[in-house]
Amino acid sequence: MQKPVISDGALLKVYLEGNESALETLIKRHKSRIFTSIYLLVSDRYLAEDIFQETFIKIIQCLRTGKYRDEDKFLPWALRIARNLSIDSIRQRGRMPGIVTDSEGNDIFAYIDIKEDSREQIVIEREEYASLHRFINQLPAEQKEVLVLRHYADLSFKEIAEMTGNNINTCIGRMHYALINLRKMMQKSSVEIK
Amino acid sequence: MTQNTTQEHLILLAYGELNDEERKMAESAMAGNPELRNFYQSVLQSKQLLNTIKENPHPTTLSIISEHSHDSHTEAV
Repeated sequence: MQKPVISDGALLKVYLEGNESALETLIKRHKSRIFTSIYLLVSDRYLAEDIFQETFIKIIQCLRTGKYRDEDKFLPWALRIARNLSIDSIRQRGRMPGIVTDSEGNDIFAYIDIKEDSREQIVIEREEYASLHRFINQLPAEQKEVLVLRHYADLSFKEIAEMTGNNINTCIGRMHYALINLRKMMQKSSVEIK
Repeated sequence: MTQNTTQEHLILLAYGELNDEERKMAESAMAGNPELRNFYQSVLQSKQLLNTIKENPHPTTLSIISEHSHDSHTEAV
C-alpha cells in the first residue's frame, strides 16, 4: 500500500512548527525540477549551485518572517524566486550564457547519473547529452525560458504567463518555436531521436 | 476546434493542458490530418529526448541549506 503523500502546504506548516526534516522532504521532492531549471537557465554548474542555495535561503527567510502564506503554491513560488535570481545573475554577467561548462572546466558528467552500459554507449550518451544542452542554450532567450519553465519546471503555460508577465498565447508561441528550432538543430546534427 | 486545431493546440495536448472535449477534438483533427499527426509525434519525441536531462544539486549545497535552516530556527527560538 502506498503511503499518502503529504502536501507541500502541510510540510511547510510542520516546518514552521520546528520540524526541520519537513524542509528536507520538500527539497528532496522539488530539487531536481528547480535545479535543472536553474542550471539550464544559467549554464554553469557552480553558479547554479549558488543560485539554488540562495533560492532556499530566501525561501527560509520568507517562511520564518511570515512573508509567504500561499501554502498550496510552493513550487511556482520557489521557481519564481529561482528564475528571478537566475535572471539577475545573467544580467550581472552581461550576457546570456553560452555552451554548458562548469566554471572550472570540469567534466559536467561527473555529476550525472549515467546508467551502467558499454563504454561506447556511454560516450554516445554523453555526446547526445552535451549536444542537447548546447541546442537548448542556442535557443533565443525567451524561447529557452518558456521551454525550461514548461518542460523542466513543469509549470503550466498560465503560470509561466503570470510569472513572466507575458500573454499566455505568446508563451505557447515561444514554446512552439523552441520545439521547432530544437528539432531543426537535432536533425542537422547526429542526435538520435528515439 | 476540429477545423482550427493548430500545432499550438497539439503542444498543449502533449503537455496535458487540454480539457477532455478539447483533447477529443484535437485527436479527431489528427486522425484526418497526417501533417498534424506527424507534428504531434515529433513533439512527443522531443519531450522524450528533453527528459534525458535531469540535474541535481551537489550534496554539499543541500547540507549548507539544512545548516542555514537549523541556525535560523535556533536564532528564532
